[in-house]
Amino acid sequence: MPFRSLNQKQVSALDFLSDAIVPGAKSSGLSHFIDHQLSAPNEDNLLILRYLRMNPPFKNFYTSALKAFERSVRLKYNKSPFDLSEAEISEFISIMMQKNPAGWPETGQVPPPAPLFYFVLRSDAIDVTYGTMSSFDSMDIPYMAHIAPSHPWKAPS
Amino acid sequence: MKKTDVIIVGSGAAGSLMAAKLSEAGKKVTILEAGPERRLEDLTSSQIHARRLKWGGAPVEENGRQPIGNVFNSGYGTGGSALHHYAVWPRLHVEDFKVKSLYNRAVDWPIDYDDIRPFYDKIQQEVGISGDHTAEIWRPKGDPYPLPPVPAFQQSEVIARGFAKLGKRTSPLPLAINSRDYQGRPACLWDGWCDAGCPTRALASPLAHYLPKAIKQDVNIIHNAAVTRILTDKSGKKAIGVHYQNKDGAKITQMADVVILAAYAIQNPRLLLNSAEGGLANRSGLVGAYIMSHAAALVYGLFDQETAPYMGATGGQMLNQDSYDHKDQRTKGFGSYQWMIAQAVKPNDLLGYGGSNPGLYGAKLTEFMARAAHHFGTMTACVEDLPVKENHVKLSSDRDKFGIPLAHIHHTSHADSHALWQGAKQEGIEIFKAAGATEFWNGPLGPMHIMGGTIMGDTAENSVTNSYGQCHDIDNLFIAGPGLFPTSGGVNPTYTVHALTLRSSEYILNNWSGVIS
Repeated sequence: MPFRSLNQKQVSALDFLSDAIVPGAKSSGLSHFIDHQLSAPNEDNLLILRYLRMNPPFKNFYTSALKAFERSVRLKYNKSPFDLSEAEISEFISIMMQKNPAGWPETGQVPPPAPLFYFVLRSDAIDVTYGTMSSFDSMDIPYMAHIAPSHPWKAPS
Repeated sequence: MKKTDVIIVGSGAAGSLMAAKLSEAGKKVTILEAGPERRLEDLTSSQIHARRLKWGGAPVEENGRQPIGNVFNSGYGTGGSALHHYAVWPRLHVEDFKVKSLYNRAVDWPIDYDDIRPFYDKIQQEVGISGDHTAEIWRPKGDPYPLPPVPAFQQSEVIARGFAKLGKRTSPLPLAINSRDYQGRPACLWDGWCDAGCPTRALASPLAHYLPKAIKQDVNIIHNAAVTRILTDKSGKKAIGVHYQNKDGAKITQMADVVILAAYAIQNPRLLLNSAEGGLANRSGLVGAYIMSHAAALVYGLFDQETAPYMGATGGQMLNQDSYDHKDQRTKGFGSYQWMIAQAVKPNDLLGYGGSNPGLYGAKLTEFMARAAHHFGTMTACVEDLPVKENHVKLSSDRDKFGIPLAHIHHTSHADSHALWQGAKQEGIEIFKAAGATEFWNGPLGPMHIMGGTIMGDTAENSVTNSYGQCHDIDNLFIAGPGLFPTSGGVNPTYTVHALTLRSSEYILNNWSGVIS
């Protein structure tokens, strides 16, 4: 499925970080979920950001934070995020959930605060990894749909 | 444009009930709904798809230390907020109506409990509430519930032990959800999809109960109709209709004898403030003032026992109101709160167990999710928010796509309300410890329900409307919904919204000629 709002570099960073926060997010289609919602009309947007006093469009929220993520990782570890060890990405996540890591821009084109981005991305990743009919099956809990979704996150056509 | 008897702005709990009652009495009613049409078959069982039901209209600006969470707490489309409400329907208590008289705090309502009691009784008979009036020892006077109580699943049994060990009492939670077939609607299956909207009609949303009655009487519902202005005659003392804009931006005029605003606590004052210099019906200067939102005190835990947290209703299974009456006798703060015990929980979304402990990530999160799926427990205190005049809706300098100023909300909880929330959180942890939770923690303050902004009262100096929601300044302009509440109490507002709206509808019908003259 082609991406409509995010480029490949952004998709790779999104998959990498979200999978480190919520294992399974990448294979559950997290980047497709976010890309699809970013391309939808504002009133049909289903991202949890809606609940957090943020008004769409939301694209810049994600793309600016991903850019800041890469910049901060390079500053701290002197390498690309994709080259981080498990211990290093875990350490970085433990920092970003509490405060802006060094290098996270706080002037000019300001991305969302790192703790907010962490919370949102974690919630998005839980949506696709644990909030679908197939994930309920894998957790051995009954879904009990009155009306089953025709797609985990796309509106019925 | 043909004139109609009544325009109702908004198709939520208040709007749909008002439409049903007025149309059944022979009035021609048109409902203008800002959002899109929702049908029962649109209510997909998914916490992701459920977000479509939340506010999607003109952006709302929020500030203050405890923002009210407009998007999560408001609805958009047929049925409004009540389409995704959890149908927890307790009554306000006697002292909720007299906080000023009893405690020299806040303000009094212009009515007593005894004034509204008959309407609570009528509504519960018409709609159906499942509960146990004898076990609910805190409940003020009222007819027994027409339906047997909701079942208690493992989660509530586990948590109730904690209450019992501490000498606290529990009862079944009163829910406007059918425990057996009632009024042509089926019994609930207890699958916890209330937040996504209930397509079976077991839960008494507007789509399940009052809107079908209104539609049967040929009430005309126009969707995607954003009302932008209330029109008055030259004197400014009589409403004559409204302007609204459709999805294409066309500006349409609808004339009527009576205008009723039922667009919830934020959009009603926004509309009044935009309809005249200084605000329409605003002699008091209080349009937009006293916005309130219950603070949710969230308690989470893991138990060794199987809790089956996926079973039940989203609102919970059991109730405790030991900390309700005698508002001045709390350990911390001032006011009332109730515990709603054992909510049915999904893995995802703001209220899901995945979000309950945001510090977990990686392998620890995976381990937690597997355990929580069968051993999670939760309860929520609905904590009173004392009215503060400076908590208000005003017009922003920014505008929506139709050029109408956005609503700008400021909300910072009264210090005593915030202390009450802190005390509730601590009590919740003690209860979970007593219940045997192996891990227990609190969530952040969650805003729950929106009230005030167009409060009722005795005079045009201290309120926007009288006790029937009739604006002091304009006899044929009414407000319906939780915006009328002068104080919030510590219970969910939708039952009281129904009772007040029924009372107002009878007043309008009994005084029709006076109202429109």
